[in-house]
Amino acid sequence: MSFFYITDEPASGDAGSCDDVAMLVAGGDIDFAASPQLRERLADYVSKGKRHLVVDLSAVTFIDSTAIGVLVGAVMRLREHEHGTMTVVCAEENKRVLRIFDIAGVENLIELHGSRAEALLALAMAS
Amino acid sequence: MRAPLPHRRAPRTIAAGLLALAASLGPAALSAGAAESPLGLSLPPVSLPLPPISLPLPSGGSGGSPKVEVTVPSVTVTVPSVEVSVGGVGVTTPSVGVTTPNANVSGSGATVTGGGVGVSSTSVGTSTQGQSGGSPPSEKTGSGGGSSGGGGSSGSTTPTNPSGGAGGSEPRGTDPHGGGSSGGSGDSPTAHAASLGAGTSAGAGQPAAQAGRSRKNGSHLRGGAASGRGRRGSLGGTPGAGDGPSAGLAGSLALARSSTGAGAGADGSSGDPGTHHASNPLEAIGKQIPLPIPVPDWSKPIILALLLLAGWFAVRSRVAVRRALKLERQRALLLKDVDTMQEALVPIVPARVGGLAVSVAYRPADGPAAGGDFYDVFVPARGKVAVILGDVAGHGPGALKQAALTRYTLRAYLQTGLEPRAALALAGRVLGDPTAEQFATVVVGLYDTRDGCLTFAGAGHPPPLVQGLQTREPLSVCASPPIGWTVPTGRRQTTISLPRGSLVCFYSDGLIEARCKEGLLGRERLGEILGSLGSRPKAEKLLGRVRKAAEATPDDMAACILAPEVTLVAPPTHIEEFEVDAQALANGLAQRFLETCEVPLPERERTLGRAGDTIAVYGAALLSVDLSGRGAEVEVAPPEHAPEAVAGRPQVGA
Repeated sequence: MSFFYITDEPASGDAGSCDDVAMLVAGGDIDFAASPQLRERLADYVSKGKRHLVVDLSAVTFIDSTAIGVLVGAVMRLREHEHGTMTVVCAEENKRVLRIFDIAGVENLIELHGSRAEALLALAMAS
Repeated sequence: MRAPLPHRRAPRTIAAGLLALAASLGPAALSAGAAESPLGLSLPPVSLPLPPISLPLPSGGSGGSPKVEVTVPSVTVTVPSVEVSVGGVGVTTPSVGVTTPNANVSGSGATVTGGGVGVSSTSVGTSTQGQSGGSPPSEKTGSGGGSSGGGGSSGSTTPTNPSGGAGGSEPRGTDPHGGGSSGGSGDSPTAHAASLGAGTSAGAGQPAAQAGRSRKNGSHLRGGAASGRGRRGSLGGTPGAGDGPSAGLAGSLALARSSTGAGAGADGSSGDPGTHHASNPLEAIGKQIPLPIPVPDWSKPIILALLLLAGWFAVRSRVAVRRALKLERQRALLLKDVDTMQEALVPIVPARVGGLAVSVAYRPADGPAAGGDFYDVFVPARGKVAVILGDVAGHGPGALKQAALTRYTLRAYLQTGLEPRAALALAGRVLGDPTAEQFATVVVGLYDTRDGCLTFAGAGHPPPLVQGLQTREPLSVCASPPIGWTVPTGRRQTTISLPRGSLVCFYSDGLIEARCKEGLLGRERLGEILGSLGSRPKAEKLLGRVRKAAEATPDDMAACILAPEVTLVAPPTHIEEFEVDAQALANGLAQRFLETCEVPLPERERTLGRAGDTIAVYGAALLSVDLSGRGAEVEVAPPEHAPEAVAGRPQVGA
């Protein structure tokens, strides 16, 4: 059976203002069953005023189109209302997930980074 | 004296009542109640295996002569052995017949005492026979007779009771009926019945009294030998007539009704019965219920209750059956509707379309039409075959609607002559959902039967598997996003020539996302399975093999396999196209595309420069890389559908 987990971690690092940065870590199979929870967590952050979301999917074994749709939906909300960004972290070794992102055609929508540090650095530089 | 037979009282509890009801329905059973309501019980001939009782008394006058004086001083008829073997008596009557083994005929009056019939238990009939008693003194057994009535209800209490019911009757020979027949009478079945009925009480109530009386008179009946039902006092000497049986009946009836000793032979020993009946509430109620069947009163309420219950169940059952039939009909209709709806998503496709052998298959994960997979194969124009295969995110009715909408939108655009990439781009604009929740991944293919080339474009959907090509594998880099995200899609497109022997398999992600032991099935494994199915694989077979290879297929699966049937001597063709905008140029996607196409570095730089120029003018540029030959020839052109052409973006939905 597939399993998944979604937790959040303090966004430590070089990002200047940690107040509006949130770090979400997911693992396992993020599929149709996990999507509602993912959506809820992301919406929660956006409503709390977090403008920059970093989602670490390095430990994800599989992500389906529904979950990707949830991520994209959050990106849309961030863009429209908060002028925020979403960054996805996925290690280079996680070829399966990277390939899924590839096929989904989200390059223009979701920024992909190989590590959290890289993602936070990019965030800091952008802001 | 014989041991009293097991006696039975009218049951007072319902449970007991039911048992008794059962018993009463038995052939031999005569229950107390039966006596009261004339039952149509036909008693089987009761044969009492009485040993021949010979009464060495001169038989007196028969019946009725009240005063038969038979002086038989000591008529000791020891009839201990008068055994009515009750065992053999088929009457299960609780009731025990009392035989009066020793009929003591008292001297004086020809009295048949001992109605002979000791009735024992409730139901016990007593048969009496009075006998005359010639000889007063003759007493056989000890005391008064009675023996027993053991059987019946009362019986137990009054073992001593000589005459069960009947017996009571006149001690003094007055007893008309009782009289005569002594021994002989014993067996009359009727006597039995009667006695049974009456009997119930008989034994009990008065017996003692009677006994007493009888003793006085000297005529004693000993009920002792109880036999099954009737007992007969077999007495010797009495002249008294022989109808024991009748006497018995009379007696018992009398008993039943009145406690007084009215009847002739029998008399009122009845006290008991009366009380008995009254104390049973079931019986009291039962008396009020006019049931046209011969059953004891006490059972009537139960029977009535059971009848009502049975009626209720019958009604309910009928209702349930009708409802079930109705639901069954509705279900058939619904399934038909579902089939119709499903056909809107996965139509029946001819096996051969415009020079292509076509095989399609669909397996919903959650039952008919439950998923969001859809496909279509049709001829949009002469010499063209279009294929659409997609998957709407999510399941259920909402997915169904979105799937149908996407399929027909794309179909319409393809029929207007748009090529796959343009059709997707337009559909992406038209079917945008701002929340990005409702979207469809789809791949669209267009086969040209004249040059044998297939052009396909995807939107967030895995590209088709292609086997048997003379050229490179199609590239999946820089895929377009799904339809519905309100972001530009339909940017990439691939054109390949399909030589004879090649095949293309469009599939939904349910196939590659099938769960295996090692994880997901994956595109590579799917390719292996497809390759193992021969040159003309059937889509249905492919899905079956995937299902077999996987532990679970949680998503819908749809597949569409195309194989060219005509031999075309067309040059190998492989063209990759990518429409870029300023963003794709800025974030490196355009460069990545060119890299993947193995465009050499200097050419790459030049191309990007020209693309920038084109974008500046047209807002977008179409990069086209021809990989047919050895190298990669790049072209940069303005997009063929100028933005103006699709400018005003209509909104879907309400």
